[in-house]
Amino acid sequence: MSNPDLQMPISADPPAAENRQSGLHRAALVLLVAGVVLSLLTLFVGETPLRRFAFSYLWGFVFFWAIALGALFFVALQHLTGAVWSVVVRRPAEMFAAMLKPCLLLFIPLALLTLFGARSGLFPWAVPELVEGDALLEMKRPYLNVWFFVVRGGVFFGLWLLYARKIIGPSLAAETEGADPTATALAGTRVRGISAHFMPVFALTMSFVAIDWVMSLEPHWFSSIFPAYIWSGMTVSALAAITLAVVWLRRNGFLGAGLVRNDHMYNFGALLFAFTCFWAYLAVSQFMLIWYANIPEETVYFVHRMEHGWLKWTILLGLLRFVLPFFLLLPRWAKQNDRALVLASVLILIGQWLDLYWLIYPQYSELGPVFGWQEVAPVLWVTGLLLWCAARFIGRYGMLPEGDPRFAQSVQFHL
Amino acid sequence: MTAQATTMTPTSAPVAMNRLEDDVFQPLESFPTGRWLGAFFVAGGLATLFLVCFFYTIIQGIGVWGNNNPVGWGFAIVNFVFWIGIGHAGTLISAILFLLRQRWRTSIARFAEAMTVFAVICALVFPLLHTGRPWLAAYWLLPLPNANQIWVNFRSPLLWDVVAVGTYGLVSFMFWYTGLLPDLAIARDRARHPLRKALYGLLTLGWTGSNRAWSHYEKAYLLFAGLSTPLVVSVHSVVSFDFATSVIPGWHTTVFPPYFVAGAVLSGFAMVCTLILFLRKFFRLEGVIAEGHVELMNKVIIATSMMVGYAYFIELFIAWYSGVAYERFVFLNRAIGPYAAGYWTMVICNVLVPQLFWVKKIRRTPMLMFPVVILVNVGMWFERFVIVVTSLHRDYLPSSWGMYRPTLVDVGLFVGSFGVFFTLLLLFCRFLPTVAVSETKALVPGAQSQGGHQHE
Repeated sequence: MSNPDLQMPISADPPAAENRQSGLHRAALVLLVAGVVLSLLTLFVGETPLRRFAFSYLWGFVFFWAIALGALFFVALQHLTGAVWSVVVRRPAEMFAAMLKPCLLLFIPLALLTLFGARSGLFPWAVPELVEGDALLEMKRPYLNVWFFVVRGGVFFGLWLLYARKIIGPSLAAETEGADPTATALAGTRVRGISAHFMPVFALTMSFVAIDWVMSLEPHWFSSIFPAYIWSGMTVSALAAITLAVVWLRRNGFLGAGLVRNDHMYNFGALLFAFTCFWAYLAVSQFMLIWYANIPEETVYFVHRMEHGWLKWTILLGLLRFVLPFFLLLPRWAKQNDRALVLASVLILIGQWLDLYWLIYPQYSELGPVFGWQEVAPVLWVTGLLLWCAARFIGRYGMLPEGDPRFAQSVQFHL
Repeated sequence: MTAQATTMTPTSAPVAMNRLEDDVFQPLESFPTGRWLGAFFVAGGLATLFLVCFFYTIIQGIGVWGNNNPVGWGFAIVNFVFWIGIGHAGTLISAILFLLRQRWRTSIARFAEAMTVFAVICALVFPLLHTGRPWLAAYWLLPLPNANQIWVNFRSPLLWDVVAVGTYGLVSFMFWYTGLLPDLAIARDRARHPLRKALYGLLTLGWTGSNRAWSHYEKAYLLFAGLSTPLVVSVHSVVSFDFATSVIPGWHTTVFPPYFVAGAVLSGFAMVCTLILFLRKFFRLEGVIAEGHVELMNKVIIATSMMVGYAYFIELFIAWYSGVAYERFVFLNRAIGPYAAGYWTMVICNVLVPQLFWVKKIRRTPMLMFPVVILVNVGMWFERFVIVVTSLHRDYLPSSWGMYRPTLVDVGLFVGSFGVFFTLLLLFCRFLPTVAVSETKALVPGAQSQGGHQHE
């Protein structure tokens, strides 16, 4: 391909790889600490510091959660469909799925911000003064109340962690305990079954938290496609993160010598392309139907995102999240080219940040978009945390699931 | 990729190849069996019933249908959406599964594509007839320049539908026909009678089987697959816009486009599965279309069934969550109102019954899966009935409430459309190869050269 140096079989030189891993670890810590410090600073500066912190926190939290849960969905999908090509690149996906554990810890501050909703002002339905006298919010109280919000969030996290353990656990256990081929094969069959019933559980839990964490910020508004919209963004951002990880790991010799080839990368390119289109399809469906029917209860959502300086962000969102990755990934060569894949993945991840910003922040201020150092903070700590978790994972597990019975077949994969 | 694999079809397993070819071409080259003739007479009879009802409607006007005020859309639109949905499996199999390199699709692709074309034909008749004067259809439906400067309403989703379904029908036909070319050439080469040879020769459009012809063919096939993929999604999305752009509770909900697409794939696969079971039995194609193929289709059925179930659920939940009185009423009315039986038929047949496919034995045994796929066909028809009728029969004002009852002509057209569909299908089975022989040959064990094409 266009990068001959990438095609060279890079011998997995342990000291060099270790250096890379510790370098990643250090960079991650710097980002993480800087982000946390800035975030904490948010709490003490400005007019409504807690509210601003709450919004920026939610923004970062949802981004992190989407990558972790999206990665678990990806791994489960590979098991369910019995995909062979992805076995060799499954570990990087499992790496992100394993981040659901720290994600649970991240949920605690969100739960607190909701429980003390009157003070944080994050969710309007959690502010008693706003609910009193609002017929719609009073009616929605059986669902939109702080305790139920926290409890169902916790239960859903419990389910995801349980499934994460069942789906990625056997693969990681084989790594640490040494693989017994028969046991691994048996575990593979079991994981396939578990992945099957994970799908409906995933669909329902993901839908409810999409409504809870994002849609209920504008609690009067409703759209039945909204959870699917969040799902499409989640899947494509997780895919982008996995693609970046695979490219980085391959470059630095963590994925063996020439085991992951452009044939494997092509599939990432194709999946990124497909889910980019899928996101656009859902986004247009939602917008077009609401715009066309023109019912004020529904159009208000887009009015908030097209007036007061938001229009340019809306257009930018369409560009970053669809137009650019679409044309970039359309040609066949691009799907096998590391540089194109990295660029597309970065665009998609920026698009995901922007998408969540566009979904969350209009509720923060009616006067238009706000973007200051307070909004840089979550980007820093989320990126730092992602990289830190990744570095720890890389230090702990091998990045090739060599115990998997289909491993050799996966390495042989040809388009 | 299948396209690449077929270009280098070597002949390293001549025995299996010949067997495959003989099996597929046997129905074309022998006198129709009694079973086929019997089926053809039944189907032809129903098709005649369709024609009778068709002309009766034209002579009398659509007043002979059950449509009324407030239910302005009755069986005609229900059947239209139903048939369009049936067609979806063909396009999904030929386009999306091709792009996903699901090679198992080759043995069922041809048949499913043919089904698509016939289903679109059945579907198109209904809205045309619904316009009341179908001979003016071009004037109603197409943006024809005219002296009065009267144009169709470009902002109406009904016009988008004309464009979407028209494109879909055309592309599906061309895709199907392009795929047929190499196999028509086999039919030509095998033909003994000169007239038969000449006719098949005409249909092959001069196919020589040269390297160049194959290379063009592969390119065209890939392009058609790429072009058809957005069509799979767009057609039923646009059909859903017919409903969802309105401000009618139960119709206007944003989840409609993906929900309709999933439902279309579900109904399409159920229909393919139903018919394939007969096809492989009567034409002895069990070797070509194996139980494994049917099992994979059943997996698609259970997956899409759960997507549809998810859509039913999310619609219901958002109706409650929205707090809109009308939305809530519509869904309550669906579940316990006068058409509750239709609603529960839909839920049971589309969501609950396919759950049986969790059991491997049911997925693989024709006798056990047959009732399931039949029930899905029934359920998907009722889904469209529930959407069209229940949302209309209770208008905003109780003074505009009414009931819809189909007339005998409605029922005749609906039952008759199956006759049209099966007549076309039976003719297809007699005159054209039902399995893509050239492509399937590439999958026969030993057919691959040492090119490393040994994945899944």
